[in-house]
Amino acid sequence: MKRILGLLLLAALLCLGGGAAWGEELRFDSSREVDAYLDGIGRNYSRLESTESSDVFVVRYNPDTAEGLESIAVAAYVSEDCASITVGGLLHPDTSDMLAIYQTLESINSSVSFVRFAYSPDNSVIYCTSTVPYAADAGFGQMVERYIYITALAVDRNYSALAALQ
Amino acid sequence: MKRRLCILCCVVLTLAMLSCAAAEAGELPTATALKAYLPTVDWEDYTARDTDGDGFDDEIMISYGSGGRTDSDTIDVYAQCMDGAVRVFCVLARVPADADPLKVYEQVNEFNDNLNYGRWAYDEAQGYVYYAQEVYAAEDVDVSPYVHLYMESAASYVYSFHERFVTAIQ
Repeated sequence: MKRILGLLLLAALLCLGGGAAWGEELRFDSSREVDAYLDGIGRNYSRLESTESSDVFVVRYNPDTAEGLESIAVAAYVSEDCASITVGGLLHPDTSDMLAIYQTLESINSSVSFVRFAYSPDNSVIYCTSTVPYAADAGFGQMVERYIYITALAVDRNYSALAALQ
Repeated sequence: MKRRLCILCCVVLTLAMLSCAAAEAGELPTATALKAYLPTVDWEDYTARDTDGDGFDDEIMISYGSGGRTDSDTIDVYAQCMDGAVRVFCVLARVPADADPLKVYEQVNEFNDNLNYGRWAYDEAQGYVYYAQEVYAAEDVDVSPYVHLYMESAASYVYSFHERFVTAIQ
């Protein structure tokens, strides 16, 4: 009996610990709309601890074509005004030829729509991002879900070209 | 009886075909919705254009005042309507033929890295840098409010950063 009680207690503690982000209140109409839409279509996602200005959702995809990527984790930072959708830290390029990096990014950005690839000099990484402004009563949750998917697709299809910059 | 039934079927099929043809030949829903939306946010003074000659508007342009911050009196922002998406487009600046491409790309990347609402690109062959952001028209969603917000952002960015860009690439 004691053992069963102990196991139940442990399970309850694990649930509490693991679900900390889930239990956190969503602070904005925008993030509540995203949450409701993702739940409504049965999309699997996780929530990370909220930042100072945004609630964070993460959707993971298995890549189809990107070699060397185990999974594509797309994070949506949803604030009061917008959702910033990002796959961060894709790779650290060899920075000995910056023009080659920029021209490769330009070529990829010309071939994709909706999202953009950029180089962050602060972190020396290439990442993929887009931002959807918040519009009330205008299907914001659905828009964010579509941009999350498009971001994952763009990363999957272009990772190999980016990997050549390492 | 059979004959009447046959005639009735023919009439129904013909009407169905005619309504499909009318729907196909009509204005793009994204263009119709945007033209209806803009006056609700006090933008009645837009320009609509039929760029492909099919008799229907597919490009909506808003002219924002540049306040002397660019080479022109206006900052013209275009919404190019397509089936399932709208592309917001605006030229930032012409790039002189002798400009250092590394300096231009550095600026474009800096914009893409730091300015949230939109994508920036350098058309090296045509010699200009531009803003372009596609807006996905999700099913059953009127994307006009999003298109309008991107158009405002594009104009605001060009207004704020044109001079800085031109100086940086010299």
